[in-house]
Amino acid sequence: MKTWVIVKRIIRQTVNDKRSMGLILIVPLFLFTLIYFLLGDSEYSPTIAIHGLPEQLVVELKEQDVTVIDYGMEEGKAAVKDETVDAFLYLEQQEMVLLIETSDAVKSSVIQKAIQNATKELNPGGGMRTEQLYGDSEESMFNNLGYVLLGVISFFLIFILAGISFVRERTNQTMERLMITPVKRWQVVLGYTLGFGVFAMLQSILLLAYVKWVLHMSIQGSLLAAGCVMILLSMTAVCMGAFCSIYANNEFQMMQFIPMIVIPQIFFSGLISLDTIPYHLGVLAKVMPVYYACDALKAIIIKGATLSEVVMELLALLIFIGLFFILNIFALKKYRRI
Amino acid sequence: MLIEFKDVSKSFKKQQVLKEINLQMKEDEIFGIIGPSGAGKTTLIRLLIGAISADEGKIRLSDYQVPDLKALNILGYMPQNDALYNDLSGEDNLLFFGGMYQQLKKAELKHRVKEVLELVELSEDAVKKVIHYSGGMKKRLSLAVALLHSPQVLILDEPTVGIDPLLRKKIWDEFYELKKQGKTIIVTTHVMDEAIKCDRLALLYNGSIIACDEVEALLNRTKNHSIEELFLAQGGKQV
Ligand SMILES: Nc1ncnc2c1ncn2[C@@H]1O[C@H](COP(=O)(O)OP(=O)(O)O)[C@@H](O)[C@H]1O
Ligand SMILES: [Mg+2]
Repeated sequence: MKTWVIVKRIIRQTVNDKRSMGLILIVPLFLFTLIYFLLGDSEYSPTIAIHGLPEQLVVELKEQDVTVIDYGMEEGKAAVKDETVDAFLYLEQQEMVLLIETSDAVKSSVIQKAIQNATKELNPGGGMRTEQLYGDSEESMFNNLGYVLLGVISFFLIFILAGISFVRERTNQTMERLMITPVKRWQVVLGYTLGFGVFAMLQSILLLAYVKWVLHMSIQGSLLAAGCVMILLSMTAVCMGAFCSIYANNEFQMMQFIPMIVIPQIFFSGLISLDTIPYHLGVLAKVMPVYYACDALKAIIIKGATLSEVVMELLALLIFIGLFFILNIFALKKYRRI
Repeated sequence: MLIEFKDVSKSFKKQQVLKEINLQMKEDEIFGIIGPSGAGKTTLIRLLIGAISADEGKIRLSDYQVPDLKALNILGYMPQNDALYNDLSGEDNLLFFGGMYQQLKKAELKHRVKEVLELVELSEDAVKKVIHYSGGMKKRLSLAVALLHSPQVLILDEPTVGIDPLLRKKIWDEFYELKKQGKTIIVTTHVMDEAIKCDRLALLYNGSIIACDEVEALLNRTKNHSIEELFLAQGGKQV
């Protein structure tokens, strides 16, 4: 009952604050639109060297607004290296191989999209191996970008929202005032978690709907599963934001957590292949919620996983939520020992 | 005795803020704590409400040993700074804090909210967001929050700073009324005029109680009938 009063208060307070509402609902859509234009519909049309491709595919590629130049095998590879072409697409033992220069994630995304679209018509489900001139990762940097950003942006914004709100309650001492009413500590934590959880949920659903139906991002797997991952991740952000705010005395100090908490998570979110991180630092990812969320989102969005296939990741997120929930209940002892 | 401080000491890091405080407060009295700024008044009050814990000594409130969750039911507290939700209306602030007390049922709470809003003369501004309130209005709303659940013990940290004399008188009349109903009111202040309106007064100086008695008795100890002299006698600074 008291929990519910707190939830209602958080909702009303946040709705009354136009900036917070903008941060939750408008900013992520704006960011994704921006990314969409940066990565998607650009005027840029790539030049690709080809070797030994079927005639039909060449036609399809041209349809995709790609300039195609026929090269010999070695010539083609050299052309990619000295950047006279953007990529080299060739057949090697019936397998299609794309050699790409990866320093520009945007260009490589456009190229991959074009080739995917071209091959979709001819040979749906047909595989393609991508080789990068720099780095030996099988995955292109860009393929990761979409789902990584989905996870990271959502986590980041909710983390800031919840953290700043908590710090404000500290600095204007409403928290101390609340804690001298006979409310129990768990009721306060639950109220806050659910209250901000409503906005976390709202943001997740809105953002997913937007990228799917407005920006037409292709989501291969279950939308429901993607929604669950997003919601659990932003709930983790609520709990972690609240927890970090205990160690911040003002809003600026809360912002100082961004390089400590948020940015490292971006590194470990799958943007950089974990196997390539030296000194086994990749294992650090295991303590980062964004890693699990991005892992699950990748499985769902790219590989078409269903809800049951990402259960482990969902469980990991639930453990984070539970852990920080309990930590927060203890942290409130700072205001009242009982 | 309703409230008792027994040999209570409190330090923040190395600074000792309160030294062996012994105090007793009775039912139906207005108890004043007066002292210059930095004397430790707010710290004393935060110990009583259980927001911080004493390093040594004990604090008893009614039948409870502080801190006790049940003790909070009979406490009303008005902090020195306003501690209100700026993005909510005055009314919503009251409804929220009122919702934290089981004893207030919904209909009763609504009624009480109206009552206290009238008392502090904020009825007309009830739906305005607190962020648009003036300093004095915030102070009044903060008082309203403390009064809302008709607490047995009302603790007010410098309640009338920034409130105009007319309203201040009205608020004091309300304190007398509450006292008549058998409630205890604890007020801190650094203003002499206000201190002498209390029944009993504790003089807090540098973290120690330098005197504690009925106001008349305290005044009679001095030549000029003023409390300042008691502080000056301590070799202390002007209050
Ligand atoms: N949380 C705290 N941490 C460190 N020092 C504090 C804290 N609260 C109060 N103090 C110090 O304790 C002393 C008394 O403060 P306070 O009780 O607020 O005085 P008053 O209310 O009489 O003006 C001051 O010197 C203040 O700096
Ligand atoms: Mg004070």
